[in-house]
Amino acid sequence: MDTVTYPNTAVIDYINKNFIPIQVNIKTSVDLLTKYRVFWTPAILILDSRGTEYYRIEGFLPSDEFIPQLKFGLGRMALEKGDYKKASSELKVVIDTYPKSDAAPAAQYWLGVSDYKATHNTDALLSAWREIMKDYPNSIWAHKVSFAF
Amino acid sequence: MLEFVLSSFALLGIIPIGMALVTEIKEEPTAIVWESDIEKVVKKATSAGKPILMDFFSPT
Repeated sequence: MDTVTYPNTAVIDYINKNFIPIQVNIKTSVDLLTKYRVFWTPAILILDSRGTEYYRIEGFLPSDEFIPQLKFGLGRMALEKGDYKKASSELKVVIDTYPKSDAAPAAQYWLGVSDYKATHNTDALLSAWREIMKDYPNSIWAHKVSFAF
Repeated sequence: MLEFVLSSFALLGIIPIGMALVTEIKEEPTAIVWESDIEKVVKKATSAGKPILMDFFSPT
Protein backbone atom coordinates (compact mmCIF):
# COMPACT_ATOMS: atom_id res chain seq x y z
CA MET A 1 0.00 0.00 0.00
CA ASP A 2 2.80 2.41 0.90
CA THR A 3 4.55 2.00 -2.44
CA VAL A 4 1.59 1.73 -4.85
CA THR A 5 -1.76 2.89 -3.50
CA TYR A 6 -0.96 5.55 -0.89
CA PRO A 7 1.29 7.64 -3.20
CA ASN A 8 -1.58 7.91 -5.73
CA THR A 9 -2.70 11.54 -5.86
CA ALA A 10 -6.42 10.70 -5.93
CA VAL A 11 -5.98 8.50 -2.84
CA ILE A 12 -3.96 11.20 -1.04
CA ASP A 13 -6.59 13.80 -1.81
CA TYR A 14 -9.54 11.59 -0.86
CA ILE A 15 -8.09 10.40 2.44
CA ASN A 16 -6.80 13.80 3.55
CA LYS A 17 -10.18 15.39 2.81
CA ASN A 18 -12.47 12.73 4.25
CA PHE A 19 -10.64 11.08 7.13
CA ILE A 20 -8.31 11.59 10.04
CA PRO A 21 -5.76 8.92 9.03
CA ILE A 22 -3.55 6.98 11.43
CA GLN A 23 -0.91 4.37 10.69
CA VAL A 24 -0.42 1.69 13.29
CA ASN A 25 2.78 -0.36 13.46
CA ILE A 26 1.71 -3.87 14.47
CA LYS A 27 5.08 -4.53 16.09
CA THR A 28 4.73 -1.69 18.56
CA SER A 29 0.97 -1.28 19.00
CA VAL A 30 -0.17 -4.59 20.40
CA ASP A 31 -3.00 -2.94 22.32
CA LEU A 32 -4.65 -1.64 19.13
CA LEU A 33 -3.93 -4.90 17.34
CA THR A 34 -5.78 -6.75 20.08
CA LYS A 35 -8.60 -4.23 20.41
CA TYR A 36 -9.43 -4.37 16.71
CA ARG A 37 -8.66 -8.11 16.27
CA VAL A 38 -6.17 -7.56 13.48
CA PHE A 39 -4.13 -10.62 12.50
CA TRP A 40 -3.02 -9.79 8.97
CA THR A 41 -1.73 -6.75 7.11
CA PRO A 42 -2.52 -4.61 5.35
CA ALA A 43 -5.71 -4.06 7.31
CA ILE A 44 -7.49 -0.75 6.86
CA LEU A 45 -10.33 0.04 9.21
CA ILE A 46 -12.96 2.74 8.96
CA LEU A 47 -13.90 3.96 12.41
CA ASP A 48 -16.26 6.65 13.53
CA SER A 49 -14.83 9.64 15.36
CA ARG A 50 -15.09 7.77 18.67
CA GLY A 51 -13.05 4.84 17.43
CA THR A 52 -15.84 2.33 16.79
CA GLU A 53 -15.17 0.14 13.76
CA TYR A 54 -17.71 0.05 10.93
CA TYR A 55 -15.83 -1.36 7.95
CA ARG A 56 -12.54 -3.00 7.14
CA ILE A 57 -10.47 -3.78 4.08
CA GLU A 58 -8.03 -6.66 4.39
CA GLY A 59 -5.27 -7.19 1.85
CA PHE A 60 -3.74 -4.97 -0.80
CA LEU A 61 -5.93 -3.00 -3.20
CA PRO A 62 -4.89 -0.75 -6.10
CA SER A 63 -6.20 2.80 -6.06
CA ASP A 64 -9.04 2.16 -8.55
CA GLU A 65 -10.52 -0.41 -6.15
CA PHE A 66 -9.39 1.23 -2.92
CA ILE A 67 -11.23 4.54 -3.34
CA PRO A 68 -14.61 2.91 -4.10
CA GLN A 69 -14.07 0.61 -1.11
CA LEU A 70 -13.51 3.64 1.12
CA LYS A 71 -16.63 5.33 -0.21
CA PHE A 72 -18.55 2.09 0.22
CA GLY A 73 -17.31 1.86 3.80
CA LEU A 74 -18.56 5.37 4.53
CA GLY A 75 -21.91 4.41 3.02
CA ARG A 76 -22.13 1.30 5.18
CA MET A 77 -21.22 3.31 8.27
CA ALA A 78 -23.93 5.88 7.53
CA LEU A 79 -26.42 3.08 6.93
CA GLU A 80 -25.61 1.37 10.20
CA LYS A 81 -25.91 4.68 12.02
CA GLY A 82 -29.35 5.24 10.48
CA ASP A 83 -28.32 8.20 8.33
CA TYR A 84 -30.08 6.84 5.23
CA LYS A 85 -29.78 10.02 3.19
CA LYS A 86 -26.01 10.05 3.55
CA ALA A 87 -25.80 6.28 3.07
CA SER A 88 -27.73 6.37 -0.20
CA SER A 89 -25.67 9.31 -1.41
CA GLU A 90 -22.32 7.58 -0.73
CA LEU A 91 -23.49 4.28 -2.20
CA LYS A 92 -24.81 5.96 -5.34
CA VAL A 93 -21.42 7.57 -5.89
CA VAL A 94 -19.81 4.12 -5.81
CA ILE A 95 -22.33 2.77 -8.34
CA ASP A 96 -22.24 5.78 -10.66
CA THR A 97 -18.54 6.61 -10.52
CA TYR A 98 -17.00 3.16 -10.16
CA PRO A 99 -19.51 0.81 -11.86
CA LYS A 100 -16.83 -1.74 -12.71
CA SER A 101 -15.38 -1.92 -9.22
CA ASP A 102 -16.01 -4.88 -6.93
CA ALA A 103 -17.69 -2.48 -4.51
CA ALA A 104 -20.39 -1.52 -7.04
CA PRO A 105 -22.71 -4.57 -6.78
CA ALA A 106 -22.38 -4.52 -3.00
CA ALA A 107 -23.23 -0.82 -3.04
CA GLN A 108 -26.27 -1.55 -5.20
CA TYR A 109 -27.46 -4.16 -2.69
CA TRP A 110 -27.07 -1.86 0.31
CA LEU A 111 -28.56 1.09 -1.60
CA GLY A 112 -31.76 -0.94 -1.83
CA VAL A 113 -31.62 -1.61 1.89
CA SER A 114 -30.95 2.06 2.65
CA ASP A 115 -33.83 3.25 0.45
CA TYR A 116 -36.12 0.66 2.02
CA LYS A 117 -35.11 1.64 5.56
CA ALA A 118 -35.75 5.29 4.71
CA THR A 119 -39.14 4.78 3.06
CA HIS A 120 -40.40 1.33 4.15
CA ASN A 121 -41.28 0.97 0.49
CA THR A 122 -40.68 -2.57 -0.79
CA ASP A 123 -40.67 -1.30 -4.37
CA ALA A 124 -37.57 0.79 -3.61
CA LEU A 125 -35.80 -2.30 -2.35
CA LEU A 126 -36.81 -4.49 -5.28
CA SER A 127 -36.04 -1.77 -7.79
CA ALA A 128 -32.46 -1.45 -6.52
CA TRP A 129 -32.00 -5.19 -6.32
CA ARG A 130 -33.36 -5.68 -9.84
CA GLU A 131 -30.42 -3.57 -11.03
CA ILE A 132 -28.05 -6.14 -9.53
CA MET A 133 -29.68 -8.92 -11.55
CA LYS A 134 -29.35 -6.75 -14.67
CA ASP A 135 -25.88 -5.22 -14.22
CA TYR A 136 -24.05 -7.75 -12.05
CA PRO A 137 -25.71 -11.12 -12.78
CA ASN A 138 -22.54 -13.09 -11.98
CA SER A 139 -21.82 -11.44 -8.65
CA ILE A 140 -22.51 -13.02 -5.29
CA TRP A 141 -24.94 -10.13 -4.74
CA ALA A 142 -27.12 -11.46 -7.57
CA HIS A 143 -27.30 -14.75 -5.67
CA LYS A 144 -28.25 -12.87 -2.50
CA VAL A 145 -31.24 -11.22 -4.16
CA SER A 146 -32.24 -14.09 -6.46
CA PHE A 147 -34.93 -15.30 -4.02
CA ALA A 148 -36.88 -12.07 -4.63
CA PHE A 149 -37.34 -12.53 -8.39
CA MET B 1 0.85 63.43 -15.01
CA LEU B 2 -2.76 62.72 -14.20
CA GLU B 3 -2.37 59.33 -15.90
CA PHE B 4 0.67 58.58 -13.78
CA VAL B 5 -1.11 59.50 -10.56
CA LEU B 6 -4.16 57.43 -11.47
CA SER B 7 -2.08 54.39 -12.43
CA SER B 8 -0.16 54.67 -9.15
CA PHE B 9 -3.41 54.65 -7.20
CA ALA B 10 -4.56 51.67 -9.26
CA LEU B 11 -1.35 49.80 -8.45
CA LEU B 12 -1.70 50.62 -4.78
CA GLY B 13 -5.13 49.03 -4.89
CA ILE B 14 -4.19 46.00 -6.96
CA ILE B 15 -0.99 44.96 -5.16
CA PRO B 16 -2.62 44.24 -1.77
CA ILE B 17 -5.45 42.32 -3.48
CA GLY B 18 -2.89 40.30 -5.42
CA MET B 19 -0.92 39.56 -2.26
CA ALA B 20 -4.08 38.50 -0.47
CA LEU B 21 -4.90 36.14 -3.31
CA VAL B 22 -1.41 34.63 -3.22
CA THR B 23 -1.65 33.97 0.52
CA GLU B 24 -5.07 32.35 -0.03
CA ILE B 25 -3.57 29.70 -2.32
CA LYS B 26 -2.68 26.76 -0.13
CA GLU B 27 -0.56 23.92 -1.37
CA GLU B 28 -2.24 20.51 -1.26
CA PRO B 29 -0.34 17.88 0.73
CA THR B 30 1.72 15.61 -1.51
CA ALA B 31 1.27 12.64 0.82
CA ILE B 32 -1.29 11.29 3.25
CA VAL B 33 -0.94 13.15 6.53
CA TRP B 34 -0.75 10.13 8.81
CA GLU B 35 -1.04 10.48 12.56
CA SER B 36 0.42 7.95 14.99
CA ASP B 37 -1.26 8.67 18.31
CA ILE B 38 -4.78 7.22 18.67
CA GLU B 39 -5.81 9.60 21.46
CA LYS B 40 -4.79 12.58 19.37
CA VAL B 41 -6.61 11.10 16.36
CA VAL B 42 -9.87 10.61 18.29
CA LYS B 43 -9.70 14.23 19.51
CA LYS B 44 -9.02 15.51 15.98
CA ALA B 45 -11.76 13.34 14.48
CA THR B 46 -14.28 14.46 17.08
CA SER B 47 -13.55 18.14 16.61
CA ALA B 48 -13.48 17.84 12.78
CA GLY B 49 -16.54 15.58 12.63
CA LYS B 50 -14.64 13.15 10.41
CA PRO B 51 -14.25 9.38 10.55
CA ILE B 52 -10.91 7.74 11.25
CA LEU B 53 -8.98 5.65 8.75
CA MET B 54 -6.75 3.22 10.63
CA ASP B 55 -4.05 1.46 8.62
CA PHE B 56 -2.29 -1.44 10.32
CA PHE B 57 1.08 -2.11 8.74
CA SER B 58 4.00 -4.42 9.28
CA PRO B 59 7.36 -2.64 8.99
CA THR B 60 9.76 -4.28 6.53
